[in-house]
Amino acid sequence: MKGAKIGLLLLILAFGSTVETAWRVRNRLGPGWGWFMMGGRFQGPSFTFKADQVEVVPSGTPVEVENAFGAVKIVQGGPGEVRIALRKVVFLGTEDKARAYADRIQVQARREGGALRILTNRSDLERPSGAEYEVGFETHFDVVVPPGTAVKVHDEHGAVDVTDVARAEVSGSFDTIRVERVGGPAEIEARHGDVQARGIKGDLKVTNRHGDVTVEDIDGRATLDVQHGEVSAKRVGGLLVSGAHGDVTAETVHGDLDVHDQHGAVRGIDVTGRATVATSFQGVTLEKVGGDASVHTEHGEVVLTDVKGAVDAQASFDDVTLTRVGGPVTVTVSHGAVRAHGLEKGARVRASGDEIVLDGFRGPVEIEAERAGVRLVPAGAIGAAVKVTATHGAIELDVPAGSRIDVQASAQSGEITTDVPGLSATQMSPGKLAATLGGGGNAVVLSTSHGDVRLRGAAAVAEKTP
Amino acid sequence: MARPFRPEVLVLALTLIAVGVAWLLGNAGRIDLLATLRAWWPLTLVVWGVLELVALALSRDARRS
Repeated sequence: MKGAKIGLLLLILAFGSTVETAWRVRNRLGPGWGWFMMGGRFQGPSFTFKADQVEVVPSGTPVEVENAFGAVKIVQGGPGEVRIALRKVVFLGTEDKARAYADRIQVQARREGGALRILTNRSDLERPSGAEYEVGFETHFDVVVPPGTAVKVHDEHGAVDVTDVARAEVSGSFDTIRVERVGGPAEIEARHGDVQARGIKGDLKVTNRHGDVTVEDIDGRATLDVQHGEVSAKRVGGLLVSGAHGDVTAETVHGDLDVHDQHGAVRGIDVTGRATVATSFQGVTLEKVGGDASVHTEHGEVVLTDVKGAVDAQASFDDVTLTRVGGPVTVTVSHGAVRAHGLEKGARVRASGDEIVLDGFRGPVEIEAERAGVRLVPAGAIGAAVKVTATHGAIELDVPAGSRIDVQASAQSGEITTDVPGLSATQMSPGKLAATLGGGGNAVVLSTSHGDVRLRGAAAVAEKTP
Repeated sequence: MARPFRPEVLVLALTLIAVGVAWLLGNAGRIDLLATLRAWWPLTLVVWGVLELVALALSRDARRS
C-alpha cells in the first residue's frame, strides 16, 4: 500500500475518532462547568422564543424568582399585577426542533407562603429521559412588579438586575448582579461576577467571591465580604469590609470605616467616624477622618492626613506619614521611617531602620529609635515632656523661644552641641549635659548611643526654616 | 499517456466537499453538525473501498487490452 493511502486512512480514522469523542463528551457531561469549558450544549445555532404571563397579586405580595442559565431583570410597574416575560433561547440545529422544544419550556408561577414564586420547569426538562442528548436552553426573565414589592432572586449562571423595589435579596453567579433604588435593606450573594449596588435606603450586605464590588449611595451600613475582588464604596452610612486579595477604596463614609483586608491597598477619604484598617503587602491611605484612626499593615506604607481623633499606626518595611492629626499619636514601625507634620497632642513613636521626623508637633513626645536619626521641630514653645531614646542615630531638637524645659542629654560615642539662647548648663561632662531653660518645668530627655545630640535655638531654627 | 485512476485523491476531494457542505448547513441552522458527522463519517471508508474496487477493475481491463 502506498504511503498516501496509509496517510489518508489514518486521517479519516483520526477524524472519525474525534467526532465520536466529541459526541460522547456532549452526551455524558451534564450542565455545569463542563459545558461552559467546552462550549457544549450552549454552542451552535440558537433560536429565541417569547412567552408572556400576568399574575394578579394583592398589594405587598413578595415576589421570588428562581432561574438558571439566563438573566433576570426586575423593574417596577403598576399596582396589582406581576407581568412576567420569558425569553427562551434554545440551542438546536433547526428552528422547527427548537420551537418544538421551546414549547415545552413553561413559566411556573406559584403562591407559596404568601409570596409569588416564579420559575421554569427546567428541572423537569433536564431529567434524564432517554433523549438523544440534553438540549441547551437559556431562560431570561423580565419581571415587572408592583410598587413597594419585596423581591428575592436566585439565579445560577446569569446576570441579575433589580431596580425600584422595597427590599432585595439576590444570589447569583457567573455574571453581574446590579441592584438599584431599594427602599429598604438589600442582601446580595455572588460568585464569579461583579456586584453593583446603588441607592439602598437600608443596610446593605454583600458577599462575593471572585468579582469586584461597587456600592454607592447607601443610607444604611454596608457590610461587604469580598474575596479576590476590588471594592469601591462611595457615600455609605458606615462601611465594614472584610476580604483578601483586592484593593479597597472608600469615599464619603457617614459613619465608621472598618476594613480587614489582605494583600490589598486601602484608601479612605472623608470618613466622619472612626477608621480601623488592617491589611498587608499594600499601603493604607486615609484622608479626612472625623474620629480616631487605627491602621495596621505589614509590608506597606501608611499615609494619614487630617485626622481629628487619635492615631494608632503600625507598619513594617515601609514608611508612616502623618499630616495634621488632632489627637494623640501612637506609631510603631519596623524598617521604615516616620514623618509627621502638625501633631496637636503629641506622639509615642517606636521605629527602626529609618529616620523619624516630627515637624510642628505639640504635646508630649516619647520616641524610641533603633538605627535611626530623630529630628523634632515643635510647633511652638515646648510645653510638655519630650523623651527620645535612640541607638545608632543622632537626635536633633529645635527649641523655640519661650520654652520652659529641664534638659537631660547623653550621647555615647557622640557629641552634644547646643546653640539655644538662655540655656544654662547645670552639669556638663563628655557625652552628658544637664541644663535648664526658662526656669524649667518640662522634662526633655535625649539619649543616644553612637550618635550626636543637638539642641537648636530659635535663631538657628529661623535660619533654616524661615 | 493517461494518468492512472487514484481513488485516494477522489476520496479526499469528496470528503472535503462533504465536510464543508455539512459545516455550512450546520452554521445555517439546517442540521445538527456533530450529529450528522457522527452518523455519516464511516461512509467515507465505504466509498473509498468501492472506489478501490473500481480502480482494480479498471487496471485489469487496461492490462487485458
